[in-house]
Amino acid sequence: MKKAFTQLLVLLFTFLGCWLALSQINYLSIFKINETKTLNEQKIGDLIWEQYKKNTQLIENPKIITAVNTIKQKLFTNNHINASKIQIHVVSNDEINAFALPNGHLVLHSGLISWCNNPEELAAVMAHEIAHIEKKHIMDKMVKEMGSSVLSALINSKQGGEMLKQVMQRASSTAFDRELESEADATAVTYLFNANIDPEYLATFLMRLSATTDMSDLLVLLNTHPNSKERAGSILNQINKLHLKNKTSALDSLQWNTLTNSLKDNLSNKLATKR
Amino acid sequence: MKSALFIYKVTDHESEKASNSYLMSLIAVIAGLPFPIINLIATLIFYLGNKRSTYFVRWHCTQALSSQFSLLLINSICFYWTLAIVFGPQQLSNFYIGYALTVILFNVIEFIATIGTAIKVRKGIHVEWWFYSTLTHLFCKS
Repeated sequence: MKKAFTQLLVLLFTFLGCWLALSQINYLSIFKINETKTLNEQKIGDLIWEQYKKNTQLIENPKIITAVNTIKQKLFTNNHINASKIQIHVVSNDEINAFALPNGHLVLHSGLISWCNNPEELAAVMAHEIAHIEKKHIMDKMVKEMGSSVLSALINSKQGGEMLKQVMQRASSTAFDRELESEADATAVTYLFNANIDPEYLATFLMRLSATTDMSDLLVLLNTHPNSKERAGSILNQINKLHLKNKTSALDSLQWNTLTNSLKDNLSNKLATKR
Repeated sequence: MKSALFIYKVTDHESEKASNSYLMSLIAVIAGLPFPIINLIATLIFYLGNKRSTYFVRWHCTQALSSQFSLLLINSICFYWTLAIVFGPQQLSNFYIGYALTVILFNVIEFIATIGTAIKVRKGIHVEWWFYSTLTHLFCKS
């Protein structure tokens, strides 16, 4: 019995030794796995964004862009996020939705900004989407849902056409799984905390989202972010362990009022154009 | 892996049956890929079918079966790790590739050893594997 046990240990250590030795080789670098992934993400992200841009109206009002960029800057500077990696686009769309696309494209619907009660809620949603980008959730989700072969075909085909439309549709309207959402929430809380913005607004936003029963057609964010109530609870638990000393506003009241008024003007112009 | 003398002279019928126990795991490896449990089940069925056979046949069935258990363990970890990367939150890492290569290495060694043993046992030569023969001596009594 003792002999068998000794031999088992030798076998076990031989296996572990081989594993450890073979793990020392940097395969990811040799086969340029990460570089290829990044390149593919850039190509897919730009393809999807170009397709999305064709069917939507971008908001280029400097007052709106400046306000959104002020929040972006606060979050990025305090969390050492490379600003050139993420581009925030505000689009004229009544649906209450925000989503991240590959290659750092973050899309904010005007409907979502209008639905936020204060700039801190908007900052919380932005922090959550930035967390998805920083944690590289988007490509993972797309590869799992569509398969890498579909995405490779998308990169290699010049037109993309119908396939590209479907990918775009999925990228903006399907939910992340629970684990990725929780990770994005936890990261968003850290981002907000570092930027001295009260992370509790992320929880209140989610609570408000789960309590809303009307506007079901417009509330796309509820479909793509299920279990909002549970998630709000987890966020509050995380916040209890943090002690934020100097709370600051994501935007001052003047900037927030300018932003909301500009959005109202934008909506009025849109309706007037329709008529 | 070493050839050793067996306690009695083995008949041709016995050597054929004992050799088949190793071949079972080889056939099952090919049929069962990528599911790691298939080769163990095949070897286990062969072992149970020969439970009342002669000592030489039982001994080799036990050695073949015990080797499959350790392979099942390392192959299962590799299988579920791969699934976690493809469908779950796990990321591809050097540790995973290192593990997969180690698993492939051990499987190849086992595959070659199995072929070699099956040929030798078919000729009536008793072959003992390091560690697995010690284990087999503990479980298989004459």
